[in-house]
Amino acid sequence: MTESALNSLTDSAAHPLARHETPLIALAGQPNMGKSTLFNLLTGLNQHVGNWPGKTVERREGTFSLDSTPVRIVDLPGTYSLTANSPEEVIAREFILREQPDVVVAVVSAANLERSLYLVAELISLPSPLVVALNMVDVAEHEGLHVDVDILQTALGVPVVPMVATRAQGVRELLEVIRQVLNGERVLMPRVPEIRSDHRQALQDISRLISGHVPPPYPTEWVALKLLEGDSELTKMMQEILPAEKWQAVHQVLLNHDDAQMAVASGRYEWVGRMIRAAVARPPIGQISVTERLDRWAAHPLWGLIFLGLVLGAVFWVTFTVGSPIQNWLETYLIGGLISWADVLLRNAPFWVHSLVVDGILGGVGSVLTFLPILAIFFAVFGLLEDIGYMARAAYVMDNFMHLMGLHGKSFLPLFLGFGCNVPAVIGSRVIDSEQARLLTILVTPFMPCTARMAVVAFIAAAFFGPYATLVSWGFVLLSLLMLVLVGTLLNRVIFKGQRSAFIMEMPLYHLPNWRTIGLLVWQRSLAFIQKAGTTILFLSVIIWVLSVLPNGDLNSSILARIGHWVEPIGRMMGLDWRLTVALLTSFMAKENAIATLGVVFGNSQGVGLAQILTSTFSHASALAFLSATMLFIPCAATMAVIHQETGSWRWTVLNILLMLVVSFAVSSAVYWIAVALRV
Amino acid sequence: MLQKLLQALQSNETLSTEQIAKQLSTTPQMVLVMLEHLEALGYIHQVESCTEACSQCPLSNVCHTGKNKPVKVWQVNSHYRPQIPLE
Repeated sequence: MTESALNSLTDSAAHPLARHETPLIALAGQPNMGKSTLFNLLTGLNQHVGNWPGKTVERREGTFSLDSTPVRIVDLPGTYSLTANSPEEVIAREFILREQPDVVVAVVSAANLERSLYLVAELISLPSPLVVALNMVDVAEHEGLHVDVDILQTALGVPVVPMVATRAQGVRELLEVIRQVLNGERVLMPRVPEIRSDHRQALQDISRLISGHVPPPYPTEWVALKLLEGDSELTKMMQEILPAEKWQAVHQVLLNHDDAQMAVASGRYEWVGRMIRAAVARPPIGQISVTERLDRWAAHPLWGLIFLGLVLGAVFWVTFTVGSPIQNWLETYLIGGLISWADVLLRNAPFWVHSLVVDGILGGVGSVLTFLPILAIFFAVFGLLEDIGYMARAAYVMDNFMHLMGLHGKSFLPLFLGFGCNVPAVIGSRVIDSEQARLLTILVTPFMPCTARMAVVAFIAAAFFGPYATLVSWGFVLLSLLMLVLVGTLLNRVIFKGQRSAFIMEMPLYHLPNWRTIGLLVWQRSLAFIQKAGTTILFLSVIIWVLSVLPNGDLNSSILARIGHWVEPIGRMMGLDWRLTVALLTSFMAKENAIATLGVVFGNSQGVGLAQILTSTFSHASALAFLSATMLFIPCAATMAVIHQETGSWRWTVLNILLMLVVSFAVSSAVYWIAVALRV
Repeated sequence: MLQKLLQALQSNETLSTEQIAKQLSTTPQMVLVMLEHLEALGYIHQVESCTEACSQCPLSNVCHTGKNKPVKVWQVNSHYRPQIPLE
């Protein structure tokens, strides 16, 4: 508004249509819509704060000058609707109905009209003239939303003023519109929402029954609508006022329309939907349409699964292309160099000191530490997928897939966490209400390939399968997921009886990644891995070393070898010798420990890295069997502990161990013998 | 519209807000607002996605999932399901 126009406001002396001697304006709106900012802008220091009578809700009232005459303004409590759900809602509607302000200003957010307009749908049905202050238009524009003010104004039938309250933009225009309304220069033709058509007769019936009994200032039809909505305060009031037979008749209508609450709200949402469709334009290109276009593939029940498979394949491709060469370099030059240096340095030290440092610590923990580049890439790629909003889609398509297999919908949440680590995944099963469904989810969670397992797979696959490592790793992840579905389906039929229920999830918009967040994530997780290597894996490596040198310093006659030979017959059926079988067994404490054990057992005495020693010792068929056993073997000790904690039962914990043992043994044996038959 | 949303929830499938918005010819934001309304009316409840798990998890300080970006998920309350009227 121009300066001259503003001056014209002060030239006119009175507001002919104002009901109050001092015009009264009420500011209404939902919380966080900028109502208080507007109130402060208008009143400055001319405001006082107290409490609403008999309530602990804050009342803010002030004055400002319009046309040289003072105007009272009351900042109503922030509310989402005008039903008696909270003291704030009762205060807001009672004030509007009893005080009958000359203008009610509804402050709404242009960036979130869907949420804001429901209250407008209620306010517009009340007798006081309504003006809509369309706040935060800058935020809406920033998000690519354009609200056509003229169309919205026409659709609502009341004035709409665009503004940015935080920058005092649009305030003068709002005051001009208020002045016009007060002076009768703006004719308002509010378009009020209607109740759903199948309840209109009920509304008329109640209106007719209560007509003549409704105390002022309540409008009869509004009270009838609120009775249908089940408003507790008005129901109580009308029950006390109406003669018994009339109340019985009203009560009967309400009983016959027990879904009336839905019908009233439905009518309002239809109304809000019409306003949005008419006035809000979303950008043809940009963030929203990119999300929609990507989701045609990424969230499709079939293509989404294929897309997920390709994404996992790409993760492994990046890992092997970038991570494996660095891992090889670290193993050969850093760990190999450290071993050579320690070998020379400790040449004259006692045997056990030399062996502990070279074979136990550097051979064990050193081998595991070389995983760091591979893990860092996993963390970075999964962090990236999560940050851009893809992981929610991955969970969504997995969930649809699980539904096809008869698994419970809610299970996807904890299973989703299982990609990182199985421990939070098991604890996450608490979100599932049904005891049986929760149990089923816990039992299948260890089939989710955690990053520790994937790191072991990345190490072995790169060593044995070179250019085909991506394909092999990808295949083992898919094998794990397939086993999860098969075992889940089987258990579902036995213990869960195939119950299902609807499930709705909000998909976040795709957006550009925040590299700082991803960097921080990689740093924190890598640090946690190094800490784990320096504590748990170091401790276990030393134990394995002790077992490998006792009683006489010879590995082949050591306690470890005896244990290995004892379990070897089972391992042989999977193509694993006692060393691989022992490595598999020690992965029970931590999955990465499988490599640490192989590092201790094979040492580095041959002057080459562990990967090279392994490829020259074992066949490809044995490597494949070892990989499938690693992916499907019993969960680590931490996961087992939380399984016991969450099920509260040793029976289910042991059953889970047995289940995983049987599955890993059966699948690994099958993989080994098929590979032998195919001469892989 | 609220009624149509409830009918969509009777499919017993897993649905995204975008999918429902398409079915109802509205925006996902509108679906979110209606879901919150249905939640307030007691027809559905929001599933506490990851927060509880994270508070108990030893890896919570290094985990990125759940804690920073919880996925909002709702489920139909079983005791209300028979009352959802069909058109």
